[in-house]
Amino acid sequence: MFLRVLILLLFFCALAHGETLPATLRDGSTRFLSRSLGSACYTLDSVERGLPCNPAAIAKARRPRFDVDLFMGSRMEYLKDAEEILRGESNQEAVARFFSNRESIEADFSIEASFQAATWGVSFEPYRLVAVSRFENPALPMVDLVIAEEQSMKGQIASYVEDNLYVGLQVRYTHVRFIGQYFALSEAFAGDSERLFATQTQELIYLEPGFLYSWEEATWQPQISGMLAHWGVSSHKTEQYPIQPEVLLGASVKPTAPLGLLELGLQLQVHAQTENAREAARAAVAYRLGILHAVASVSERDHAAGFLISYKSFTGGLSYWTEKENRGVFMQLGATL
Amino acid sequence: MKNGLCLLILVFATPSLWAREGDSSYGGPAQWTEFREYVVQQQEENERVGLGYMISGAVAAVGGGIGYYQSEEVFSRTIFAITSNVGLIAVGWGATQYWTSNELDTFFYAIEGSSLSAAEKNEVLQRYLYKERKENERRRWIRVATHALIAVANLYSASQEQNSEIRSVFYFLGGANTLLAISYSF
Repeated sequence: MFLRVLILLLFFCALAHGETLPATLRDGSTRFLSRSLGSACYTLDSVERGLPCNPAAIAKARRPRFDVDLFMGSRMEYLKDAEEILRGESNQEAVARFFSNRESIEADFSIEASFQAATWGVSFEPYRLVAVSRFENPALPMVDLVIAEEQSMKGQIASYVEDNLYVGLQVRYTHVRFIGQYFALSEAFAGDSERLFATQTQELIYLEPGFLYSWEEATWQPQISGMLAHWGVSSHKTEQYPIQPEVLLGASVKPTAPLGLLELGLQLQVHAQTENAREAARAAVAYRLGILHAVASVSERDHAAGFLISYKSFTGGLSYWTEKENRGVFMQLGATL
Repeated sequence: MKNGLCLLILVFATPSLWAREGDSSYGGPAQWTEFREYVVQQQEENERVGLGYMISGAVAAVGGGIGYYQSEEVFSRTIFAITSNVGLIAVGWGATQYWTSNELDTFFYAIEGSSLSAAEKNEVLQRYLYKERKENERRRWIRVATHALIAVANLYSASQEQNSEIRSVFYFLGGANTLLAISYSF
């Protein structure tokens, strides 16, 4: 009897609770950059894929470039099942397979094309699939699940203002169709999957201004950056895709290296839920030599390391990302024309 | 997801992958002394770039090989295998940059060591640069026309396609090639 009451209580909780998609996954930055450098990509600009994270950096672009990037996590079977669930094409077997992996998972698949010239850039992400699941309470497993399919467009415009100051603005539009639920695992197999896996749609428009102050003539080329991210409007309020503005402040230097280009950066990411400076801080390093771009970043929550190999027009690489209960390997393939 | 992979293969297969790096970047006047300075600087730069490619290529070749045998996931193994191969190619490319000369160096070597007077060297240089700039211009417009044609073909295919997913792939390729055609036209 007690168990039934408990399940009933949990069912009502499910109506009111759902996972907020982590800010990294709601971020508008090119996926490899945001996965490997995290928030530090708003300051570090030596690794170039797609549009820069900070729109002000586009004013530093020296020549036009066109990038196409394919980014995917290693858990493709999991993502394939997630896509079927989202599209309502899954059967009991697929649902069972999807939930058989009782660990926290963040998976991501994205294809993006971007074009940038000096002072402006546009980017189009026609397809992105994100799946995040977290399991709680092994005795009576509860699942916090978000599966989302997104289409996004963004535009950046920037200009040199004066005395090494660059300012820019990013306008980002995202259409998302998603499932966001918190439920007892037993419910997923109870045959009421239509209600459980009901999809919602949401439209989001973000206006994200940023600046860079860069001492380019100095030996180590120090720069400081600032950005207001995730500031915008939504078609309606949801827990999975909240409008939760963040202030990003960072600094970076490029110490002289005998060969190649080394860049070190520190970033602070502050939002309404930030409790202390340690939680907000992130340190990152990037090194580029010939075909090799190596990046690493660390914060209190997670750390990541990755590399890109760029030869002529082609780029490929891996990114290893780890947090307390979760880890992932992400692959990047791209072409630059 | 399948569409994403198809899209990338199509983009990789697009003829626009002709490299820009063959273009001459000497934009100075047809004066031999300034041209000499430029070529010497370029040779130093090529040696530096070549060395960078050889070192990073060797790191990638060795690291890719180790990563391939250490990792278990198919994605990681694939990327490490690619990394290892690209690393070896980069070592070769770096060595070429470091130890061999390009067309500009050969031209410089031929004229610099000749018995031509300064005025004659300037005249030959002027003719060489004139021809090269004309050919670069012609190459640029061929690129514009190629991308414009690909854009038109894809946009037409999109307008005729019934399947919405395939249609979006055609629109994507059409849009991308339009952007490329515009970018090459400036």
